[in-house]
Amino acid sequence: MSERMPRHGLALSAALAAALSVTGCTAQAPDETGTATGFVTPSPPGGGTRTDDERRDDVTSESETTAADLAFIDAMIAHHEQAVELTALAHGRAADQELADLASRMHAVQAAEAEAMRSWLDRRRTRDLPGDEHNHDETMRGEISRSTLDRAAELEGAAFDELFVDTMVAHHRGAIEMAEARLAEQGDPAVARWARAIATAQALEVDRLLEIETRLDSE
Amino acid sequence: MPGRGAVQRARSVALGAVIVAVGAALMASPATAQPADREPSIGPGLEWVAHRDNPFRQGDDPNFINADLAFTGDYLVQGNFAGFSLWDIADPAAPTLASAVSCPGGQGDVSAVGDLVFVSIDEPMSDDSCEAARVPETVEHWEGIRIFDISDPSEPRYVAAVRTRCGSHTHTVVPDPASSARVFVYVSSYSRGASIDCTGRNPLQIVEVPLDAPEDAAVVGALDLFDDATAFRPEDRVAGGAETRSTTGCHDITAYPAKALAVAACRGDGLLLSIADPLAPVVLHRVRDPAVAFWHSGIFDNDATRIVFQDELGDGFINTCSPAFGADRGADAVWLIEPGGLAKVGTFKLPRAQSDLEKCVAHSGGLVPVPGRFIVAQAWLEGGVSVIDFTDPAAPVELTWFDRPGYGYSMDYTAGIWAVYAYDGYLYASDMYEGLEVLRLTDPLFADAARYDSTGLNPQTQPEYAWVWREAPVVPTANAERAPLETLSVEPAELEPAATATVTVSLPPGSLTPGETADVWWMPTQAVLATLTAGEDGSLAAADVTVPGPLEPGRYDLVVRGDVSAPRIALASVEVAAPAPTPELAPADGDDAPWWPFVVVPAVVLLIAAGVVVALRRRAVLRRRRTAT
Repeated sequence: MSERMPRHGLALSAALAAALSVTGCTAQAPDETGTATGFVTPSPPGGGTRTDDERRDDVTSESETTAADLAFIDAMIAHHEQAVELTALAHGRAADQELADLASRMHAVQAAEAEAMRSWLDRRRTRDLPGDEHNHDETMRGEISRSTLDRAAELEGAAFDELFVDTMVAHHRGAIEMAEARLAEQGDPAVARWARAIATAQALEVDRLLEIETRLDSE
Repeated sequence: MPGRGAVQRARSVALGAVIVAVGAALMASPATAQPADREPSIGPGLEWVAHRDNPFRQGDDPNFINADLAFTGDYLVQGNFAGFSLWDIADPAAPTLASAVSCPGGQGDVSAVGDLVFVSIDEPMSDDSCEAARVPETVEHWEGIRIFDISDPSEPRYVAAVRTRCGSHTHTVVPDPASSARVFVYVSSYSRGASIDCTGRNPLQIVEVPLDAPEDAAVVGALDLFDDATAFRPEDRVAGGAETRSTTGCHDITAYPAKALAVAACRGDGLLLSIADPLAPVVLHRVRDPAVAFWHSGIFDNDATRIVFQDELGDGFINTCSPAFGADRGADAVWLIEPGGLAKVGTFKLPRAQSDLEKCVAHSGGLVPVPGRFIVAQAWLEGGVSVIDFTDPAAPVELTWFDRPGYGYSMDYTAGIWAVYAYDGYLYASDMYEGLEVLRLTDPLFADAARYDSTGLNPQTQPEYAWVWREAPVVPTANAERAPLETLSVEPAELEPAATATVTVSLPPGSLTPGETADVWWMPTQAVLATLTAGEDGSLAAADVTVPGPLEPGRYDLVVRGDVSAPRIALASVEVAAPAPTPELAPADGDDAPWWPFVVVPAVVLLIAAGVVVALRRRAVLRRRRTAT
């Protein structure tokens, strides 16, 4: 676990000073100076000091990375990678221009998010949980099978569009379920924010895919 | 109000800071030292004058990141997901940390009014205390607005906690036009999905804060700015457009109280509001844009004729500044305020390429007050800071920038510069992980922006900038109006005609707003003779100014006008005496009476007398002759 800062007012000048980086940059980089001022943890409003006894010990706080976080991120990376692979196939194969554009944006987003999550996971594994052997099980939902990808690579035009929409709707719905499952558990609030954003963004894309499907069916 | 009287107070670096700096230099570990390859790229007309680490930072843990900024006097409040930092910025080049207030809860949107600091909490917390822990959405929790008193900057007090529905993602201070004793706080938040009370469409909530009794702050109103027909829904999206978010509440509001307007950025919709009655805002115009995924925030120009909106495509998790997302996506859009509604006239997207490991999208910024221009300083997360000129809304241009390269890996959640704002000629940028960056605007274009004596700034409560020093003062002519203004002391008050002269001007305490910038005007030529700074007691210390000549005899006005206390002026007259008289003409007493009567009158009298004498003699001679004959 990374070092934790002292919670109370006695964050010490030594600790603070050590935390201050000296920007050993160029002449244009300003010198870092700090102050010996410490941290303050004010009492609650009303003047009374709320003691630890009054705090809600029954509530599990969210702050540390949990197994649920690791499992969620790990599964979501694989999940995103499948979407990256399928969206990459859309270029040159998709017949519908709106679908091609959507696929291109989805490709950029899923690739960037997968990269961010890989980076998160790598650092958690090396920094926080040495020896963690990635043995958490998270069910992958809406998985895009290898055979589906192979078939997509063979198709083009309207047939590709149809396969793409069907597969991606199921894929995204699976991602939303995975995100919601994570949100129902304890864990790192940052991962919760991430899960929320993924769920929101993919729900929008599902709607968009369904609109395209309706239009394609009527054409 | 802290530092109110110290707008330009003596620049001094605390000895303690120096000692700690030395200590830091000795103790800095390689792990915390900034890698040389993260040197920022800095554009023209910008000087990087200070950097301060985020005192809360815990490595790459996103629960300790910095957020928004607010200014009160010489203090800068920097919000953080773990509390807030209070910086003394009396010397912008040497900010000192007055205190770091530990009080967790994101996203730490902050405002400051005098000695009060407001903080938005939009995460489920176990209770309202500063010892609270984050808890899941699905259990009973607290979120809302926290109010602190920073009258002792080293020991802020927590004076009130106002719970709001669905917390407070952002908030906006709106003054009460009828009373300076209270302010309203517009609380913006939107649903977060699986939550016990944060679902559906969230109303705008209004908190009243009595400034003398902030502990009595309370929610006094809740207003849904939408109905089912006007709130953006998924089916409102257009083919080829953005994956626009549903309107489940507003993300942020920028008020412009002097114009009784506010702009609300509400996920799927943009709104222009009338806030003439702050308790009953009225929607004037509603706008949508197929290119916009997330209406994030808006900035007015100083005339309130234009608005720049930011689109936070991708939530700040990825690089949507990339051209792959399109030139008008995740960008700024300029809209004209017209009688019939708002009209989009241009877009601007960060021109500097960012790696795909960087999080980049249009984020928070504010107006840089340059007369006649529409210039905005804005953050782009890991895309850094841009100063953008929107004066020609169809062709916005980036004037300068500050941009660090990426970390070399993708940070968790989000990273980079959250917000940047101009204050007293400097840009203050809040970097989530790295800390506080202070940048000086050195281009002469920004001289008037630098001149501005701000006593505080909440960037989401836009002040109306007036560059009073650019226009000469108007001096009354009637004696009755002049008399009360004649407080300026001038030595000497009488001058001889000359090519030029030097006089000493001064004002007693209480004449000016403490610390304000003041000009000494010579009214005959409407020229500024000197630009001075008022003392802490509102006095003007004796200063020599050179009066331009040639000085013809007459009576002339000198005026001192402070930037803040304007239009009030302090007046004095100097008298230029008549030219020194020539000796052969001048009576000793300098009497102006003509000299000739003194010569002519006696001469005439003498002549008449002589004539009379001659006549009488002649008559006497004749009578004697007659008598003799």
